[in-house]
Amino acid sequence: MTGARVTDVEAFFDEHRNGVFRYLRHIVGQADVAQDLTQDVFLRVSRATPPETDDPRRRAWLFTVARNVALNHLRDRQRRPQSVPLADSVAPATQELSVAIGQALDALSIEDRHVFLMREIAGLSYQEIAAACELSVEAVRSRLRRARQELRTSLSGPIAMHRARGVTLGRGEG
Amino acid sequence: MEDAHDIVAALVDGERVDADDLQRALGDVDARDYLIDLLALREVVAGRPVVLNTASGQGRRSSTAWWLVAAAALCISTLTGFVAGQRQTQRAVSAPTHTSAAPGNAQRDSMPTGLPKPTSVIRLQSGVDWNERPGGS
Repeated sequence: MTGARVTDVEAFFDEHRNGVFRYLRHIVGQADVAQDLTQDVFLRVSRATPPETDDPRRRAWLFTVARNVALNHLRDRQRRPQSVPLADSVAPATQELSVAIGQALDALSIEDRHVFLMREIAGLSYQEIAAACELSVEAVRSRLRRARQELRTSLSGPIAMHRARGVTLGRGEG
Repeated sequence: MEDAHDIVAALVDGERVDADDLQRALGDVDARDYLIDLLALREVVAGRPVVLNTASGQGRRSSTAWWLVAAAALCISTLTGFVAGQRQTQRAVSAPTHTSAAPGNAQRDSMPTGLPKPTSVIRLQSGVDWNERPGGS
């Protein structure tokens, strides 16, 4: 690997590490596993040839890799005996909410979950999600709508609490 | 025309929407309610306590670096020890050999000079039987 390429991959890693980690964290549900998978994603990125820096498909390509890593992990996990993960060290009330969100996300179909998290957690555009998940933009819209409707119902309590506090027209995480 | 919910969702997602369609969509009570719910849902999900332990990540990297440094130091010290040992052996071999029956003289020869003189010297005399016998005689 040349020096310029190493620098490029490192810059790419720094720019998207948090987004990829958060996305994987929501998919697998465990922070330590998500950290390992994030490393795995960037290991694969460093071995492959990512699109050029100015290529708009670059981020979508990265999340295609992340999605594949997540799917492989979930497939492997199904084959192994299940272990009960220890809860993260957060306050009990927050922990309860975290569990509720995790359960609500788990109830979505795997593809809807990926689409939703790529949008809400990683901040990908519809076009990028479509490229990463090999879907049409219309299919992305449709999956997002369905995921949101389901989550709107399953997380009605926390949503109502947030409504009471007030909301902000921020952007999705990126 | 797109569904009012889709227009609101596209707006929330930072996608470009038709102004007239948006105006129409925002005229719908359900769509406005949906807009608020989407924003609240985003805060609920994005606000889930998920923190990338950057320090631990760096620690992992610095830990790797530490092991590399430790491995390099071990290699250097081993190599230095080997070279020093080689030189000492060569010096011992090339130095004049002292005739002595006492064991360990070769080792003493290779020691640095300036050591204290021996406090007692055992002389081996011919004709004396040094084998021990029962009774001590």
